[in-house]
Amino acid sequence: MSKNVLCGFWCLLLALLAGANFPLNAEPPQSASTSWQLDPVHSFGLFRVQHMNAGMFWGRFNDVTGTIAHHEDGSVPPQLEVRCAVESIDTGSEKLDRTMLGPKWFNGKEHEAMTFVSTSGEKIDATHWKLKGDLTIAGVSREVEVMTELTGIGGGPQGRKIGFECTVEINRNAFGIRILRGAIGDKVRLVVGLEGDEITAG
Amino acid sequence: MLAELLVPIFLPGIAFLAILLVLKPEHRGRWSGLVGGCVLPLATLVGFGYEGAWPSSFSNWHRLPLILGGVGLLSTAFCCLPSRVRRWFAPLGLGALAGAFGAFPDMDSSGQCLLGLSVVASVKWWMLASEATLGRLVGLGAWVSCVALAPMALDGGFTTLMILSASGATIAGALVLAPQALVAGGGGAMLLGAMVPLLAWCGFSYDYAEAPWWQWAGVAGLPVAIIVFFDPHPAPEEQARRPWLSGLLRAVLVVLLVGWLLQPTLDSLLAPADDPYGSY
Repeated sequence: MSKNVLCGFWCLLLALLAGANFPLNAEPPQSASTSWQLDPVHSFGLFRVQHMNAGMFWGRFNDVTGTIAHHEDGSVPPQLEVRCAVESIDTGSEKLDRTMLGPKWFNGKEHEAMTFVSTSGEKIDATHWKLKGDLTIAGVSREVEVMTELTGIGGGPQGRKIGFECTVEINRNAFGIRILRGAIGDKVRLVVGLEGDEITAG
Repeated sequence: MLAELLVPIFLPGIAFLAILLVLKPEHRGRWSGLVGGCVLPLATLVGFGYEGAWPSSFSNWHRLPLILGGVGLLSTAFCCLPSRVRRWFAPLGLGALAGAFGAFPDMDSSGQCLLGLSVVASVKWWMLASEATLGRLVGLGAWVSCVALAPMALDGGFTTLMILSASGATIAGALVLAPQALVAGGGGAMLLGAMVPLLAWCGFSYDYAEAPWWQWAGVAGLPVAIIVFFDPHPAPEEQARRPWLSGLLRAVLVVLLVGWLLQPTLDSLLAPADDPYGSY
């Protein structure tokens, strides 16, 4: 190997190290986080609770908005900020909707939305995470662990889309919703389907 | 489930009546406001217990029983004042209490002022009415208002207010039943004068049935119609022609008025619907 070639190699290596500006023992570079705006038409929230110690009753929140920040290589847990408008509750019975919006249930006049903001997470596999975050219902915030599944990244002519499904089981008493204990189960399962549109610059 | 409803509804009325009957008749007028004002918050607590909803995080509607307790205390204090001072101090004081603490949802400071003013007008009117009728019709008017407010609260999704309104009706009923409990300008009239508009305002603030404001105001104002229809100064016997017919016609008019005011609520409540919770 000629002296010139060796010199050129060292110069190139130094230039690369100086330009990259990261130490040699750094972890492999992470993909950039992409941001997604939730599509309220294709996002929803479901809740399930036992009625009279018998059947499982399902209700739905139709108005779900928020944002997702996600590293597509899955190296970092997704960050979710989700807001469910309480008044969009849909139990299939208008009377029951009003009751559920009353002050001893979701108290829709005082607390317009339920929110979840993830704070950290643990990767389970390529598409599953256990996200920790603050869930706020009827004005009461509690830290919960939400099982989160990346259901897909796709899209069409209007742009790229991302889908997540989140499941969490909570005790409604912890959120101050204590009415009709015994008749209505304490445990409530929340299943939230999220679909987001990629936010592109400009 | 039935006990959850009946105990908080009837317990206040029974307790109230029992306490009034224990009191000497001449003391009932002064103390009826305080006893009624304390019984209603206690009934709310009993309701919480039966619903298994205690302890509960603070919600703005919790102000209602607290204000009613304050109204009870203040009304007793006002009863100790000379009547010419009490005539204006009582409505203004109770209105100020309601306006200062009655911060229900969607109410800004102007809404609270309006609430306070409505309580001032209502208490003043109830005191005048109790003087004009010697208390005879005042309790009946409050009873009709509270009974009419209960289904409106239920239709709006506020079952606890339905229970409180029904409890208010039992309080009004007890005031009618206990002799000398509703004396002119007494604590009972002040309590009813504050309670009825407060129940209506609270119900309107939490209403999801979207009943118009005039429906709530109309129901709260029913006692005015009742006292106007049932003239407290009937014509002398010799001038009255068929007094029973006149009374019957007036009663029919009141029933028609109540029916007209409640028609949208009753239509909504009686509409066939499956309520998977089997709630109330």
